[in-house]
Amino acid sequence: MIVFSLYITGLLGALSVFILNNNFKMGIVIGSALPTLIFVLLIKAFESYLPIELFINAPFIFYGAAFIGMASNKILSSYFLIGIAGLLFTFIYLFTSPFFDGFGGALGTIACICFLAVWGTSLIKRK
Amino acid sequence: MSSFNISAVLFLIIVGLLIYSYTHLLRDKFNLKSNVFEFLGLVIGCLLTFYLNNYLEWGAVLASAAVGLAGGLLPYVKPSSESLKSVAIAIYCGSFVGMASTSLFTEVYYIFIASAISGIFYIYTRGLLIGFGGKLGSVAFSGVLATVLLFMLR
Repeated sequence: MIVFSLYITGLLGALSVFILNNNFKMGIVIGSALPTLIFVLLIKAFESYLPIELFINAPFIFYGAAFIGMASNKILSSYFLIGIAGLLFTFIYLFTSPFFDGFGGALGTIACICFLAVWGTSLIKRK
Repeated sequence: MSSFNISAVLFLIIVGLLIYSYTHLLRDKFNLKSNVFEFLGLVIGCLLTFYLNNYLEWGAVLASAAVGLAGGLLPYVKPSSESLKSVAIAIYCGSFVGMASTSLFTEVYYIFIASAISGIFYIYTRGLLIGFGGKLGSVAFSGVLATVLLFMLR
């Protein structure tokens, strides 16, 4: 159940930021920082009700998935593929987080890998 | 300790010379003022996030998002300014570098060097991967990784 919640977090992080960035024209910085800030504050507010694993990992997954949502819809316009990238991010994060512990920019790198993988899929589909 | 300080100073001199050569070679295309602002924005964003994250114990995500949001509000001060928009993105990129923990960078000058390297990468890769998700984070990670490889895996 916790793992499922983390996957949903990744999906929501990528999609919400993608919509705020492209549909609401909030820009990449505010479009990703603002929802993340709200999400983290909410998680902190409900700290005592949440399982520890969810409390520790969910902010990182949301923030990392938000980096995927920072993509422009001129490069990738499919909400479905952005959502898949968010899920893929969660999958990779859950397995690689111990190796990147304390490294700045690790979330962005994983996000970039996921985005490029999904972008590649869209290229193949177009051909 | 003193030998490291000498190597750090030497490294910063080399970085300065690199920037000078770059500006000289590409002086027609190079907007020095804008690049310096972006570089400084990135370093300030990084140091601020590192401080909030590790010394005030806000946590990496909250510190980075708060600094990024504060930087993101800068363009609203003067909406006509293009350089403030690019500085906001540079500050956000710097905040990703500042997400590093003190368990990795035990001294403050490591994070300063990591931010300086990321700043150079950021300026060099300006025209690449525009609109791709995760580009800023990858630039930040490159700076952190370069610092770890240069100074810590000795």
